[in-house]
Amino acid sequence: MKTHWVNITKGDKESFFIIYDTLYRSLFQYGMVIAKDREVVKEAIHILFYELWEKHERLPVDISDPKYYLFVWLKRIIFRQLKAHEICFESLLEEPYEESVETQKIRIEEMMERERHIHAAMARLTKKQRHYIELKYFYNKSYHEIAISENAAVRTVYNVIYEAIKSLKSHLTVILILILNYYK
Amino acid sequence: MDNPTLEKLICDPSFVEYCLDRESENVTYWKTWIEENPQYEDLAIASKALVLQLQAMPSEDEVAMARRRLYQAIDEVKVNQQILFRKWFPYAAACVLLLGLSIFLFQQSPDMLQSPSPKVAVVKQYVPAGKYMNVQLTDGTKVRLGPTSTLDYPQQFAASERKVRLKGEAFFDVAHRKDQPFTIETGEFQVKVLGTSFNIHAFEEDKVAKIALFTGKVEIFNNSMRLIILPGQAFVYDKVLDKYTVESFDQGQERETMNGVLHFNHATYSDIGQQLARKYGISFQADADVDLDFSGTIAHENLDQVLDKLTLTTSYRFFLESNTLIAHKK
Repeated sequence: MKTHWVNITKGDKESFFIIYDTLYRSLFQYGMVIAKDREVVKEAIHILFYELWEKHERLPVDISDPKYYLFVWLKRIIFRQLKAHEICFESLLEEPYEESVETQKIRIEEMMERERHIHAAMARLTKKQRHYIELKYFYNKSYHEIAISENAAVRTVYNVIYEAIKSLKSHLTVILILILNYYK
Repeated sequence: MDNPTLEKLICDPSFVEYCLDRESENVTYWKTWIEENPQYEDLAIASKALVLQLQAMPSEDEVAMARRRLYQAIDEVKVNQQILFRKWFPYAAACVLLLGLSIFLFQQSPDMLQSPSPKVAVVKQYVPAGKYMNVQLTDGTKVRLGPTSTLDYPQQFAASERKVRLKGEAFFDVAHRKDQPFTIETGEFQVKVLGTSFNIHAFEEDKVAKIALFTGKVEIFNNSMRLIILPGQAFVYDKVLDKYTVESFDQGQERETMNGVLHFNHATYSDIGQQLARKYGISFQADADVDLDFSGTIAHENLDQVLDKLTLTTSYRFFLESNTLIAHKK
């Protein structure tokens, strides 16, 4: 990660996209905890990397934890965006943001760990299962809506999703405990 | 629910609603259920955790689209930096400008060919300097046109789309029609909306074009780029640098602008002259020797008061000579 960071400051596009690909999903999750709106989060991550590239010559070369640097940067962009959207700040205040740097770093590590496992578990699903899970849980579509858009019977949609969750569960037993601790 | 399992819970729509704190009925139901079945509490928490975790994941399509968009944007950073570099060489800069202009002309011509078939009458609404005009289109869309602005719109919209053309600035409150997208063509880009309200500033002679979004969602695109802005965001396009940014804006200020209040923030002489010419119907000639950096607001004052104000707060004396704005060093 550090080598890629140094390469970015020198203008290496390949390293830039390696970091992007490595961190995108984790940054997304982190953003969703703060903003709870996928459009806002996607926009914020886009801005983050756009600015990163635009400023790559002026970035500090010697930072101990580039990952942490990027997560904090994203958080600031989201706050900026939310402020522009005039979303009430009460919901933001509920989040424990004033944690120590160390705690935050651990949380980020845990999140990346969870993300890696779930992503791996998702990768084991069939294409159809993954697609249905995305429609159902990422985009919050009802069984009925999915049945119409995918031209399938409601019962089929339900069965595909049921099997997909079952498969996820079997690959996530370890991580479920971690998730459990996080949300408890 | 008998013999609940993780997959049974997660597949239950009302349980998902509960996880997302959506419908109070479901929330109460599941809270009670957990209280009554404490042996399933851990299971319910794990299920909820997984639902929330899935919620916060980007789909494969989203990841791919975001990456493509970033890739394109990064290429533009490179181009912009090159142009900034060339700015040091005046001749080269002039070339870039000319090139830019000719590209715009190229981009515009196909649009003209595509404009609505001649059978449909096109209404051309021109607003003179110093005036604002409210126009209501046949679909219920309200448009407030600013001074010296032109709006071309068909007397009757096509069934599949609503297309208008704007030169200048306007506030749009677009009537929502799901199957009939509303597209506004300006010189440099097109704006596509479903139903929303926003301001557009797109004068041909201005160096900067701007779209400020109040509600809804709009898509801005031309041949080389495409992006979506969200409420509270403004798309600002610098024609000289061919560079755009998305930034937040002051909603109060932006609304006032369409009611004739001018806000200046480090404005140059040509910014001020341009705006005053539109608002008060005077003439104005750009003058590179007038070096101004004016910040302030001009509300509903008469022209004499405005000229006094400018004279007081800057190092220039402002006056009119045969209806043309003049600034002399004090």
